Amino acid sequence: MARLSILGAALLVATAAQAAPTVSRLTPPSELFSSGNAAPVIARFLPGQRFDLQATVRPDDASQTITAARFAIDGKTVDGNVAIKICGKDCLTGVPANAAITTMRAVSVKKPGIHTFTVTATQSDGQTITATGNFEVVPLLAGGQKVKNIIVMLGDGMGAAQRTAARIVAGGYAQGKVINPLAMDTFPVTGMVKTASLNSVVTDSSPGMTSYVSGNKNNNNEEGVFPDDTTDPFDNPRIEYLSEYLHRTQGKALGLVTTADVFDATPAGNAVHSSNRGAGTGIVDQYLDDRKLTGLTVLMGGGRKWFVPATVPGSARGDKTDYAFSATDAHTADIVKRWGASAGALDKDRDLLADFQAAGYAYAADKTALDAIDTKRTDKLLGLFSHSNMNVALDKIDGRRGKARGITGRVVDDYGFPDQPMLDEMTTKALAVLEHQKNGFVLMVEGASIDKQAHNMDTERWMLDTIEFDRAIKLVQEFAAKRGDTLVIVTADHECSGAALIGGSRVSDARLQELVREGGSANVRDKVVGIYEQAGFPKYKLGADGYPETTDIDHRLLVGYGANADRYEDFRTNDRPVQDSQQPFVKKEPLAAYPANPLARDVDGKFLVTGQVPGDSAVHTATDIPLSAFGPGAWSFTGVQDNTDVFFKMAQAANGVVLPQGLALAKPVQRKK
Amino acid sequence: MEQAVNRYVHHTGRVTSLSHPPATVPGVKPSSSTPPSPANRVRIIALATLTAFCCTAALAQTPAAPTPTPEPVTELRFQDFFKLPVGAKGLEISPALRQADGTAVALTGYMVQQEVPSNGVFLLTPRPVQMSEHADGDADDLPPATVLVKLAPEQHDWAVPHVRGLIRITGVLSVGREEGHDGRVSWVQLQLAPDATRGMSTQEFALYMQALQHGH
Repeated sequence: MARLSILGAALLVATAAQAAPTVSRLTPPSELFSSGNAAPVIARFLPGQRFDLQATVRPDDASQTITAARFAIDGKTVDGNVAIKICGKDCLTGVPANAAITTMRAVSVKKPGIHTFTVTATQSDGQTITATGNFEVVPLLAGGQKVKNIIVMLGDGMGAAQRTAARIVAGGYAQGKVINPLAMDTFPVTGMVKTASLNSVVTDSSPGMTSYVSGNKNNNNEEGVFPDDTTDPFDNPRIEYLSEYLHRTQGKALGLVTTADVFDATPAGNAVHSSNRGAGTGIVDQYLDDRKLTGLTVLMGGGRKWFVPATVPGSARGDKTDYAFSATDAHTADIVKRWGASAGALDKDRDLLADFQAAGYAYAADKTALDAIDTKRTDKLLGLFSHSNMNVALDKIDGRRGKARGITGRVVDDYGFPDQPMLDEMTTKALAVLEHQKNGFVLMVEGASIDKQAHNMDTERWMLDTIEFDRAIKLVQEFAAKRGDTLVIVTADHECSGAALIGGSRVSDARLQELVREGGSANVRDKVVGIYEQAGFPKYKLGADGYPETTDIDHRLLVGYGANADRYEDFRTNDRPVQDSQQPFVKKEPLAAYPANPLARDVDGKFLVTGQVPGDSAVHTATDIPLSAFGPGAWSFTGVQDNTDVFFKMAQAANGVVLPQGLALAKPVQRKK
Repeated sequence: MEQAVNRYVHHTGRVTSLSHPPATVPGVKPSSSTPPSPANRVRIIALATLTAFCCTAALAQTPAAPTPTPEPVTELRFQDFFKLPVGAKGLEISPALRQADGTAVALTGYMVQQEVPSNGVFLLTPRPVQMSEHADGDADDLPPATVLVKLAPEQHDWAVPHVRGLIRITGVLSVGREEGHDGRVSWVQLQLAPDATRGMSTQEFALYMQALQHGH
């Protein structure tokens, strides 16, 4: 039965003679339920991949309640408990208090093909309602070599422009030819990825990650779950992750390495199921609590603030962001019972760091400690290198070079974490620990601040983060090339900021600084931006550490932003803040309001670039992103593919590499001798 | 965004006559004579009413630069908050910060640039930070020494537009765990007095409203 809108349902209720209960949501989502069309199929699963069935059923009258519900797949009732939760105060605004959330946890289907499923619910007056949806089970084919390790290199927000910019800066050009290619440029197979989420063409990092590792679209801000009608962020219908599936079926381990706070959506979207990517306490708790489901053995990044008890200064732990499933209410008790998940507890005073260590994880708080880890004797590793996000590559490198761009000295000193590892150093250690795994592993490595700095439209910082990311890719490629049993993909969750490589500076850095002092677009833009052949080949000199000696070169690369907010641009690296403690101009008077005339020359000489988007940050775009693949199974990743397709291709590779249809081998040709 | 729109920082210390458009408010020199739009005029008047209602004590005074806090004020530096560098676990509050707890302090720092200004609060950091809280939420680039600055209680639903550059503000410091309504935890808070904020000129307000018009 097609879903009725709330208005439609109200209308139905108004014509009292024909009143009947309605199903307002059926999960997994399907066009069959939403619009009556059997195609496109929205939800797809591997044979045996676990997921939850759920329906929101609304009685036709405030005096009625839902007393029973059952689910059927292809007409056959599914065996097992159906939990019924009456909403009360626990549902979203607009969902009546007597609506029922009916759920069947952790079902799976082995038979390939498209399946219809139904919910049949009974109201207290005896009326029943049935709703129908569909989903597809994608077959696993018998293939060739089974890939042992799968490595997903995720450049957050990294579109084609970000890759090209990194190539120009780190690789250099001579008469149009690249001098030193990026590692990701040498991967033999590249495809394009469509990045839409369940509810928008413009995704965010939550479904941006989970589409790749669950085979299903999620709503923005939600990870590893389908949307529901309750306010609890941890009770949503789950979808088994690649890590969970391969851990369960093949004993593979999971590694997560990121430069972001480890609770952030990209790492969490490989292991944790939540409809709120911000529910930090519960997310980090589940990393440890559910390690027997995910096989998590390596976790590295920032975010120490979640791992110390709420009594310790700096702790971000709180009950509002934590999880605790009921022991008695089947709605969440069945998550524990049927998924084998932990029940959790509201435990903001938990010493999660100590719990990780007690569970056998070696702990590294900085690069020195990381270097000291003996990977021959370590099979589980936790690294927490900063309070929240780690400092970006440019600031870490400045730190190592002793460059004082900060207030107290170096930026890393301002933050209090002067010894943070680079992403390639973290990746090396992760690989060294994971390669002990006899059944192999799934590893996700994220260059997180490409996106974060693109939001800030801070060109130099995201360029260097992309270079840092590529250095990690190079290591991973070497690892894979040596072993021959590892599939590596380099991809992005989405593009960020609509970055555009508009040209090169026509002036030296010294001249640019003069023009900035004069200020205004007539100076900073019109006398600087070199378009077409005026751009030439910006030439950056790399230091021994592999990063540019300076980003303030003469005739630098210039970047514009298509998804930008209003910003002031001077094309220079955001160094020491414009007004700082060295300069006397500190505003002491009561807080000023919005600048009186933003279109005038700004005190810091920049010119205003008016944005297309509201707010202060650049945003994600809907543009396709390039994906590059290396290793056995790489050939599957060519073509224009949906982000959810990537999941099935990786799973297939772990089951046996197959050559994709349409990629026919050339017919042998008889040649005359 | 309605909450931010209905209140703005406006305190001139003078009665605002309800029958005159704000362009003629004494003591405020607008740089353009364009009167605000009817909608804005309503908001200005609405707030003027509130101001008149709340700040009766101030009405008799002549408009002047707000008087500085009379008691002695400790100059506090962000780098003195916690033991630096940070150890292997959490932060350790320094003796200097402990001593300053509950006293009047002055802090010089940068207002964190958020995507959407919060009502009644803002964050202050030792170096400029931009947050994309819609995209990143609690996975942020804030240094550990971040202060949650709170406007005076009667201004709790006023929006403070982002101010660029260094600012020096004075208030009463408190050190300890505080959880916001959204679950975000802060460890150092600064309570401002009402005179920490001043009014906007008509044009400043109009530009601010314009910027908010397309807010999230």
